[in-house]
Formats: sequence, C-alpha cells, structure tokens
Amino acid sequence: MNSKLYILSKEEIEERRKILTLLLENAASIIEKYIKKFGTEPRNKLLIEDLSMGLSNIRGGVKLIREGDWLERVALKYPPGKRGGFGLSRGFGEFLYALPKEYESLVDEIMEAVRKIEHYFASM
Amino acid sequence: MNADGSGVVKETIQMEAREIIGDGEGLTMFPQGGHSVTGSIIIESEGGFQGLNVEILNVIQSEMWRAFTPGAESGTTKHFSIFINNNPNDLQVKESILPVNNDGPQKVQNGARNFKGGGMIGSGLLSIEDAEQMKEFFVSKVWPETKKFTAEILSNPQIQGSLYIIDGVGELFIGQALLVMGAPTIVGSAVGGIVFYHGIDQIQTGVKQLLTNTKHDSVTVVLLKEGGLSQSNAEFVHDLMGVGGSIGGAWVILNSRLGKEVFEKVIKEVGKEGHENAPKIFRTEVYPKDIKLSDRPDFKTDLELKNLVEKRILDGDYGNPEVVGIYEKISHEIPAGRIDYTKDFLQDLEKFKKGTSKLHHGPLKEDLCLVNYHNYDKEIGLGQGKRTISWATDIETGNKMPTIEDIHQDLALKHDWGKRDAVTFIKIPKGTDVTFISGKAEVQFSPKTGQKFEGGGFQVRFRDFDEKWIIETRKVK
Repeated sequence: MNSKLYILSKEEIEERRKILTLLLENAASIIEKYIKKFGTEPRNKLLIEDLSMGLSNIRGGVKLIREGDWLERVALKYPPGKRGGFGLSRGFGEFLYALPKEYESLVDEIMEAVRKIEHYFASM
Repeated sequence: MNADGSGVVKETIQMEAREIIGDGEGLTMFPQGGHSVTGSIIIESEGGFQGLNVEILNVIQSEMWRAFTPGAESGTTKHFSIFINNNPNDLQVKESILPVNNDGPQKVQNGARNFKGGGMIGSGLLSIEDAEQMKEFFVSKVWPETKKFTAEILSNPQIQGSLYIIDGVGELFIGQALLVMGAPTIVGSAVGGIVFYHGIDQIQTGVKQLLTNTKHDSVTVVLLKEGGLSQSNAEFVHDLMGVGGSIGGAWVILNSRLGKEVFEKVIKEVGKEGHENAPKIFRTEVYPKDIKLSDRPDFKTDLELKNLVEKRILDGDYGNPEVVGIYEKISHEIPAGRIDYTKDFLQDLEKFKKGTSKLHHGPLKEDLCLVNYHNYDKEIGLGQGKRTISWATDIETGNKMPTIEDIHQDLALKHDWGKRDAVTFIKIPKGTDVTFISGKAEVQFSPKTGQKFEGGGFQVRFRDFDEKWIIETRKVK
C-alpha cells in the first residue's frame, strides 16, 4: 500500500506564507519609517541609498513569498534548519554596523526585524 | 516487508514501542535512535486503546512527520511497518502491512488527545537533538572528569552516576522544551514539568553518586518505594522516564494516584534548587514549529504572530557548543586600535553550515592570508556609505573562484547587496592574537528572485579587525 505521507497541508503552507509576509512587511515598514525620518537631510544621502537597497530586497521578498509558488515549490522542500536564509542580516549588517553610535536605535530596530525574518524562515 | 517498490530504501531501523499506557486512553511513542532512512515500528497493545497516535522520528533534522491514526481494538496486538523515503522532495510511506488512516492529529480525541501532538512532539524531537548536543557540551565543559571514568567497569557507581547526569541533561532539555511550549495544552505543560523535574532529579542523583562512589536511589525511586512500590517496580517506573521514554513515563505518573503524589514531592524536593542550578543554556526557547497557530489559545493578533517567531530552532551552526563553550571562557576585551565586531558574533553562527564552524582565539601559529570581496566604492570604516570587514575567505578558496559568479555562489553573497567588484587582501602576521570563527558558508536564497546560492565556501567571521592587516585592494575585472 502506498500512501502519501503528510507533510504540510495547504492551510499550513498558507499560515507560513502569512507569517513570513507579515514579518517582511514589518521590516519594510520600519525601514520606510527611517527613510522618511532621515531622508530630508542631505547628509544622510548615503544612508538612504543603503536603506533603499535593503528595502528593495525586503519588498522583493514580499513579492516572492506572497505571489507565486516559490515558497512551497522551493523553500519548503528543505527541512527546518537546513534552508539557510535570505542573507538579510548579513546584507544589512554590512552597512548598518558601520554606522556611528547616533544611529544605534535604527540599527537595532532594523536588525531585529530582519533577524525575525531569517529565524522564522529557517524554523517554519 | 523490506521491498518498497522503488529501490530507494537504504536502511531499516526497527523501533519498538517504549511504553504502553494501560488506561485505555492511548499511546504516544517516541522511537529512539538517531537518524534512520526508513522506519519500522512494531506496536503492541496491552489493555487496549481507542486511538493510536504514532509519532515518527524521521531522519530529517528537527522535523517530525505525523503519520496516521489507525484504529485499534482493545486487547489486540497490532503490528505494522512503514517505510519512509528520506528524500525531502518525495517523502511518502512506501509500504504498510496494515491499512492505516491518514486522518492526522485532529482525529485523535481520546488517545494522546490533548497533546496537539505536533507542537509538543515536535518540540520533543527538537529537544532530543538538542539534548545530544547538550550532552557533549555538558561532558566537555561542565564535567570533563566523566571521560576518565569510561575505562572503568559500568557497575562502578561513579560511572552510573555520570550516566545519570547525562541522561538527566537530556531530560532537562526535553522537559524545558515542553514547558516552554506548554501553552497549547495543559497536559503538555504537566508532562513537560514532570520530565523537567525528573531530569533534575537524575542529575542530582548522579552527582551524589559520582561524589560518594556509592549507589544512590533517585528521589523518584525513593518516593515510589515509600508509596508502596517494590525496588524493582520503582526502578521500572523511573527507567520509563529515561530520555527516550520520558513522555510515556510521565503519562504513567499523571494517570495514577501514587504517581501524582510522588511527583508533587519530587518537584517540591528537587525542583526549586534544581531549577536554579540548571545551566542557562537549558532556558533556550524552542519554537514549536509544528503546532498550528490557530490551535493556540493565545493566537489572536498579528503582534502575537510576530512575537512567536522570536522563539527559534537551531539554524545553520547556531549554538554550536564547541564554539559557544570556548567563547564563553575567553576574554572579551578588544585589543586597542581594532574595529569591534562583537555584536552578533555568536549569532552569525547561523551563517555557517551545521557542524562546520570552529573558533580560533589566541596567537596565530603562522601568517594567515585572507581575502574579502566587496563593493569597490565603499570604504571600510565608521560612517554612512561605509562598510564593515567582519567577513573574509581564505586565499585558496578565493583562487577556486575565478569568476564573480563563483564568488556569489560559494560564499552565498547575493547580487542583491550591490557590486562585489573588488578584493581586499588581508595578511595577519604570525603570533598575532586574533579571534574569529571559521567554517563553511550556509546556503542562502535571494529574496528578490528566489535564486539559490549554494554556499559551502570557506569563510571567516572576525570578532575584531585591525585595518593594518589590509595589504592591498584591487578592482576585480
């Protein structure tokens, strides 16, 4: 007798899609908040460029997860703990951790948000 | 029975039912053993049960696959066997000698009924895996003397003591995990608590035995004996609560008057002190990944969803005890003149493939030559538009990556973060005190395209960096 072994139901896939999207949108909203806050000052031009690059990745992630079947077709084929990640914390970390102390709250808030994405993606 | 019809089954491990819960309520089974490619399970009913909930510890790390809930009549003996293809892309039961239902956990109302098995068992399995690491960690860090006893005969009470400790550590971790995820079910919490405190009891008994060279009964055994059980029966119940059989043993406790009375005393006697003495690492949170969020009584808002993901499992090489254990012992003072990259240093273990990372701390025995790939337009330093240099790879790996695309693939550096059109050569002289983690890069996906970057290349994560180590930066054509 051959029976298909239960892996993830459609409902459970959608649940993961929902949470991951939520986390990505959360990170995007935080970055947008800081772009809005600092974007008016010319001295922050380089920071805004870097944040915009990161935001572009996050938005790309929202699109990737929410639209199409990449999540179930690719990501969920890997077991938890063996999916790696999106490289967000390394990507953001490369420029955020180069910022001076005055930007500490920005750094902490964004890094916390992207780590949540990475942790959930790895664990879901 | 071994034929699977496809030839993909490579190995069969037979796992026996560890416990039978005799109140007609159900059976939850924790097959022991490590990784297996296929599973074969024999379950014997003694006293009958209304539902049979079989949890299969599958080969895939940190994963639990719910199989089926076949009905079973009271007093019957059932045997069945399943074969699981380990290919995560094609995971299916290959053969069963008995018809089974694939109704999932929702149908288990009277068996392991309130467990909401996925969450609890999923955590349990995670914890078993973690417990294995914790055992190594405990033995190497906390109790290195254990090793010297291994040459002695097992009947030596000191040896038994050390084994008690090791088992206790595993149970502690399991129990802690169950406690952490206890929200979905009160029963789950209760079982977790019992397993947790039994683990403490095990450790304390083991320590006592180790120190005195005299065999000691655990508090559990003593109290069970006081409650009227013979030495052998008390030890039997105690043994049921070993790492592999802890849940079933806890069920026995929960479902008997004597058990409840005994464990109230056990918790009172060993609980407070034991909990306070439990190593901090046991308080790691474990994300109950298999529980349905909608089943959680506290699942109401998006905020709660966000909070949920703060709990985590191990990913990449995060938590590698060989790195974490050594790092906790070393000085955290950053030498003068160096850039401090301690933030998220251990967190970044998740960017290494599991089991590959090593910590170096101290003077180099020979010159260390590394390269760092980066955007040519960005300078190293502190400020807007600048970059960190906390990551590097060795020259040999660098030479194996003749194209930019190779660099992206091997080091899992995605295009999404700007150009990698420059290489900086780093030379750290022999004798220099330096602290870094080295290992293989973990796989990554591009969030924009979903493209997979394999990783696997050698990488180094510095805790601190001296710009004097940079000898040259070249633009890569």
